[in-house]
Amino acid sequence: MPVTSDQVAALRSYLSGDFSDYEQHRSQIDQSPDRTGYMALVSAAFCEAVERRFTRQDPPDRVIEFVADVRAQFDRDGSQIDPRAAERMIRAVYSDEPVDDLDSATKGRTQIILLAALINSERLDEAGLDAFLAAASKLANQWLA
Amino acid sequence: MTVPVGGEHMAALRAFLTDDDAFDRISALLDEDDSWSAYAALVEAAFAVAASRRFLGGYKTDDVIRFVGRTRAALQDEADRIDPRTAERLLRSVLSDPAYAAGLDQDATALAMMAMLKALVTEEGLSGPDLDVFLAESRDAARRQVSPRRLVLRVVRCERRASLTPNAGCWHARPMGITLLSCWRRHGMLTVAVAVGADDFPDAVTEGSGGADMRRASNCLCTFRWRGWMAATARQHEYSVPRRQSGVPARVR
Repeated sequence: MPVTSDQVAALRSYLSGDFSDYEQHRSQIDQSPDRTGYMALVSAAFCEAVERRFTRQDPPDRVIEFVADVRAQFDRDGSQIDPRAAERMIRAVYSDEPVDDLDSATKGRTQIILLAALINSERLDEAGLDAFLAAASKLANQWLA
Repeated sequence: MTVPVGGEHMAALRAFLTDDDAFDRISALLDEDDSWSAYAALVEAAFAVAASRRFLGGYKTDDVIRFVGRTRAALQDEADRIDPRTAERLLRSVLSDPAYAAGLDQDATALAMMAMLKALVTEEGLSGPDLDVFLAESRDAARRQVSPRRLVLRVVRCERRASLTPNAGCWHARPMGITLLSCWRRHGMLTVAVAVGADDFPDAVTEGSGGADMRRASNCLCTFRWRGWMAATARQHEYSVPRRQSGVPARVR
């Protein structure tokens, strides 16, 4: 089942900081029997965002510093994001580093927080955010096909 | 009872902090005196003093997170060995509540503390008389400790040759020699990787003297020495010899 417009709208609300709208969409998604599309969309968006920010040639310290900055901004008590898991998940996008040992809850929580930070730092306008979500939806649908 | 921190411990810490090659010679003296526990107390005190100076007037958690991140980023290749959460909790334990350090893994603690201490001192730019003052302050703090938490400093010191046997139930079998695969130093860390002359992971590891010190090979340790202390972690393809009952590993050669 491909990514739905509601799922894209939910992620759009989240990434643009409209959290009341996001909560509304999200509750609908949570009540839906099939949330696979939304999970695929978030993962695809995470991959797209990481590839925009990092390359294989980047030294490891760029990823370490980015994760530390994100945790300092969004994870003040230091308990929400496992820094090593976050670094590995970023590197896994552009390398062969396996992350199979990470549980799905850790992956999901880490992806959604890092995704917000990555997009926030890009300061996309409306058209830019639409283009980003279109690319993420396309990738997610390829995975789901 | 105060911790007997002396001149040799001060000299060892100074050598560590200044990347002085004399550290090996000085640490050998600590081996002979069996006084690594006093050195560990000094390291812990120095870490607390350096952290208090760096975060003078209180700290915010995000400052600690960023400091640890920058330190790990600067270390690059070694960054994965330093657990960021352990490092953050260690800093918060000396800056506010010691309870933050409760339950931390000993090896991860040792790695994180040494890395953070070095980074703190480097960032402050301590050298010459300023470093002297810092060391004296650390020494006094260490001596005041009544029941300090102790780093586990595991030191390669025994000259006895180690051997491996492929059968846990046959410790007297013909020993297999340990092969030194590689040995490298980077950022003050000496890493030694050794292997036995067999493709399979051995069932057991013994010291040359036989069965009394036999350990299951699944618990083989990859050991690496970082300016005078040892950390250990299980790694495939990287072996060291087991710790003896005294807790001191035999030497690989």
